[in-house]
Amino acid sequence: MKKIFNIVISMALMMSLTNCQQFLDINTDPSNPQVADATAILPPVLSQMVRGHVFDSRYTGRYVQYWGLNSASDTWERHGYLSGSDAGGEMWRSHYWSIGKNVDLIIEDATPKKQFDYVGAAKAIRAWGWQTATDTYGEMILKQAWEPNRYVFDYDSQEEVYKEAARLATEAIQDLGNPETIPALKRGDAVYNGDITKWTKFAYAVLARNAHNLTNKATYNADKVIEYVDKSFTSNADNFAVPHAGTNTADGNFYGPLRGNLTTTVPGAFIIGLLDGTTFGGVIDPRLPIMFAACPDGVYRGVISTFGDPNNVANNTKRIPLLWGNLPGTTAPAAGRWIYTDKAAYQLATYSEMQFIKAEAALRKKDGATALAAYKKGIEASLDFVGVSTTDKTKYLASKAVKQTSTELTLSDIMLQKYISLYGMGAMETWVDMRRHNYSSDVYTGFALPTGTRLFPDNNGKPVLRMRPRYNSEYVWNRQSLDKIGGNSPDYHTYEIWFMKP
Amino acid sequence: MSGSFVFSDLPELKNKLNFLSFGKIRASYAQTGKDAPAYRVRARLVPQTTTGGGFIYDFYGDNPNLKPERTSGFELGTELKFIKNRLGVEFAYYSNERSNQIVTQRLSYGTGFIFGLLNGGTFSNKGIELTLTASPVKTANFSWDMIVNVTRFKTQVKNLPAEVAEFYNSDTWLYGNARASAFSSGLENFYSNINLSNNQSGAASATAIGGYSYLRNNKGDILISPSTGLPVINTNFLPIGDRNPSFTMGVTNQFRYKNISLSFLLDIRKGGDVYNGNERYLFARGLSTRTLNREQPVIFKGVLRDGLENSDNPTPNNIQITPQLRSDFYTALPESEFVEKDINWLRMRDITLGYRFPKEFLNRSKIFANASVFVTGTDLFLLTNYSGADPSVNGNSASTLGVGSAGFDFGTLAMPRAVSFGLRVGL
Repeated sequence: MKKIFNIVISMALMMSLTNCQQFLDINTDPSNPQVADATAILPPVLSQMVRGHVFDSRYTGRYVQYWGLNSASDTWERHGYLSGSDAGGEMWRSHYWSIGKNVDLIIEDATPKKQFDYVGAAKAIRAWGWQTATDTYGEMILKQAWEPNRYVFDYDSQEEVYKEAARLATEAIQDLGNPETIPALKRGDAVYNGDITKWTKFAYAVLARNAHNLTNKATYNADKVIEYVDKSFTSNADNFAVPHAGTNTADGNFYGPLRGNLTTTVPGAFIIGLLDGTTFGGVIDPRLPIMFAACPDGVYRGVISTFGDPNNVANNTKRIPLLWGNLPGTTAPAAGRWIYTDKAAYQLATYSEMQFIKAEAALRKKDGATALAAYKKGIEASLDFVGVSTTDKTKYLASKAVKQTSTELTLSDIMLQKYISLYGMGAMETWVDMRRHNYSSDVYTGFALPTGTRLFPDNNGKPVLRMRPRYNSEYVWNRQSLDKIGGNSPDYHTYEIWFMKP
Repeated sequence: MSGSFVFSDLPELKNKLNFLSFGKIRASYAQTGKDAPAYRVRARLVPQTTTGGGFIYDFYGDNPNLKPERTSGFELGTELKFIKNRLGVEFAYYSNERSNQIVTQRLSYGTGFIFGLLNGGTFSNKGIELTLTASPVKTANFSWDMIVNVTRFKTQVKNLPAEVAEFYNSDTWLYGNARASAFSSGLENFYSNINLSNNQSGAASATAIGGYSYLRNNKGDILISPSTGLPVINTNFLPIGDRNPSFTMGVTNQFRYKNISLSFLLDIRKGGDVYNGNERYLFARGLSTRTLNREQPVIFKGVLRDGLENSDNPTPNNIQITPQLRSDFYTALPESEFVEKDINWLRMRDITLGYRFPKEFLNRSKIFANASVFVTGTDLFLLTNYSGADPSVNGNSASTLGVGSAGFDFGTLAMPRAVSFGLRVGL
C-alpha cells in the first residue's frame, strides 16, 4: 500500500514538474507559430511581391508618364521624391522584410523534405526581388543582408546585385529540375499551380531582364539574351500572374475599386498619343477603348506630365475620366475596368515583354528577321492580353502602325510597342527601358521630360534615375552607410545607375 | 548594499557640539538585472489576410544571444539636524547607469525585420535631492514651519543600441513630427552633410524632443525653396529641445496662530522645453493668434536653395508670399518652431486655511474629541513664460515608459483650479 502511495506521489510530482516547465518556457509563443510549412508561407510571399512592385509603380508610373494626377505639379511627375516619407520604398520593404527571410524559411522547410520544387521557386522569387529592387534603387545591402547581430549595413554595387540575381535564378533552374524532387509546390502555388516548367520559364525571364538591361555596356551579349528569352515564356498562359480573391481591401487588386487607389489618377498624354493615332500616323489602336475611357465629349485625352487636367471641373465635357472609366469625384463602377478590377491578377512578367526584349536584342545584333518576328509576336500577345477581337487584331497587325519589313523596323518601334504592352503593370520595367535610353525622344517619339521649374528643385536640372531607399529603414537607421554612396545628397535620386552606364 | 553612520553619536562628538543635534551619512549601491520580454527570443509568424492567407514573419526580429539588462547605481546622502532639530538638512546625490538595455529598436530592414530586439545602449542619470526643514518660529501661540526641496538631474546617453543616432518612444508621437527621443552624442557622424548648429539642445540627452527643424546652409541660414518661397524642412528627427528642467523646487509653509492654521505649497520650475502641439494644430488651421497678420506679405529670412547655398555668396531669399493666398504656408513651419524654450513656472499647488475648534467648545457637547473646518484651493495661480495653457503637461498617462511624454502639450487639459471646503471631526 505504501509502495503504491509512493508511486502515485512521485508520478504526480513528475507531472507537475513537466507542467511547470511548460509554463516556464517563455521562448515558445503559445499563440503564434515560429516555424511553418512552406505551403503556408508561399501564398503571402506571392502577395508581397505584388505589393512591393505595385505600390512603387504608382510613382514610377508617373516618372514614365503612364499616368498622372489630375491636379498640377505632382512631386513624382516632376521627377522628385517625398522627403521624410516611405513612398517609393515599398520594393525595399518587400525585398528585405515581407519576402525577405520568409524565403529562407521556405528553403529550410522544403530542403530536408526533398521538395526541391519549393526550393527552386523560393530562389526564383529572391532572384526576382534582387533584380526588381536593384533596378529601382541601384546600390543595395547585399553581402551583409539578413546577417544576425548586425545593425549597420554596408551597400554593395549594383554590379554585384546583378550577379547575385543571376546566380540565384540559375540555381533556381537547377533545383526546379532536380530529379530527386518529391513534388509539393502544387499546394500553395496560386501562380503556376506547381508547374515547374513554368517556374523555370519565370527564372529564365529574370535572367533575360538581368542580361538585357546592360545594353549600354560593351559586355552586352545579345545571343545570351535571346537564349534566355527562348527558354522563358512561350505564350500569355506562362505570364507570372498573381491572382486576387478580390473580396476585401486586403485580398483585392491594388488597382481595383475596392482599394480605391486611383481616385485622382488619369492616363498620361503620351500613352493616349500612342494609341489614338497621334504617333502612329492616324492608326487608331484597337486597345484604346479597352484600356481607357473617353471624355464625356467622346475624345480620348491624357494629362501632360506636371500640368494636371485643365478641364478638371464638373460638367466640363473634356474632363478626363479615371482609369475605372468614371469621372473624378464620382463613385467608381464596382466592376472596375480592364486590369483595374478587384479580382484581376497582377502580371509581374509577361510573354510580350520577353518578345520585345528578344526583338531589341536581335536588332542590336542586326538580325532583322528575328527582330521583326519577335516584335510582331510581342504586339500580338499584347493585343490578346488586352482582349482585342480577332478582326481588329488582324487589321491592326496589317496597319502602318506595325512595321512589316525588317529593314523598316527601328528601335523606336520596338520600344513604343513595349511601352504599350507593359502599360499599367510594368512601370518598373518601362522605367528601366527609359533610363537605358536616357529618356530619349528619338526612341520614345513625342516623349518630353519636365524641364525648368517643372522639374523637382533638388534635381539640379537632371531627370530621376533611381528611387531613394526606404526612408524609415535607411535614411533613419542606416545613414552612415548611405553617406558612403552619396545617398544623403539632395540629388541622390538623379545619380546615374550602374546598369545604364557604358 | 547599504550602510549608514550616525556620526553625532560618536563619543567624541556626542553632546559636545551644541549646534548639531543629529548627523548621519549614508551610502548605498545596488545592481539589478532584467530579462527579455516573453516569447521574443525567436521571431514569430503572423497570419495574413492577403489572397490565399498563410503566414509570414511579424515586424519583430529575434535574438537568441540576448543578455540580461543591468542597472547599477549608488547613492550618497547625509542627514543633519541643527539647533535642537529646528533646522534640518537632507542631501542626496545619486548616480545610476543602465547598460545592455534590452530594447525593441527600429533598424534598417537589412536585418530582415522592421524592429530588432537587442542589447545595447548605456544611459546614465545623475542627480541631487536637497531638503531643508526649518521651524523659524515656535511659540505656544504661533509657529511657522517650512520645508524646501530642490531636485536636479541630468541624463546622459553614452551610446544607443545598435549604434543608432536616435531612440524614441512611439507612444509620445502625438502630433506632427515631434516625439520623446534619446540622442546619442556625436550626431555629426550621422549627419555629416547637415548643419547641426541649431540642434545642440537635447543632444546626448535621454529627455530630448526629437523632431523636424529647418534645413540650414553651412553658415546657419535657413534654406528656402526657390519654387515655393517656403523654408526647406529638415526631415531628419534631430534634437529640437530638451525637456529636462535646470531644477524643480517645492516650498511648503505652514503657519499656525492659536487655532487658525494656514499652509501652502509653491511649485517652482526653472528651464526645460515644452512642445506646444496645440499651437501647431491651431496655426495650421488659421485659429492661432499668430495667423492674424495673414494679409501681410512676408519674405522668409534665409537663402535660396539654388545650388549656391553653401558658396561664399548665397542668394538671399527674395520671394514674397502672402500667407492667406497660400494654403501650404501654415504647414510649412517645422516642429522646432513650436518648441518653447526654457519654460519656467511658479504655481500655487495648494493652499489651506483651517480653524480648529477649541477644546472647551467641544467638551460641552461631549460627542467629538476634535473638530476643524478648512478651505483648500488648488492651482489658484500660475506664473509662467509659456504661451499655452499649462506647461506642466504629460501628453500620455504616467504609465508611459521613461520620462514619458512630459513636455508634450497636445490635447491635454490644464490643471483645474479648484476650491473645496471641509469639516473634519474625530470621535
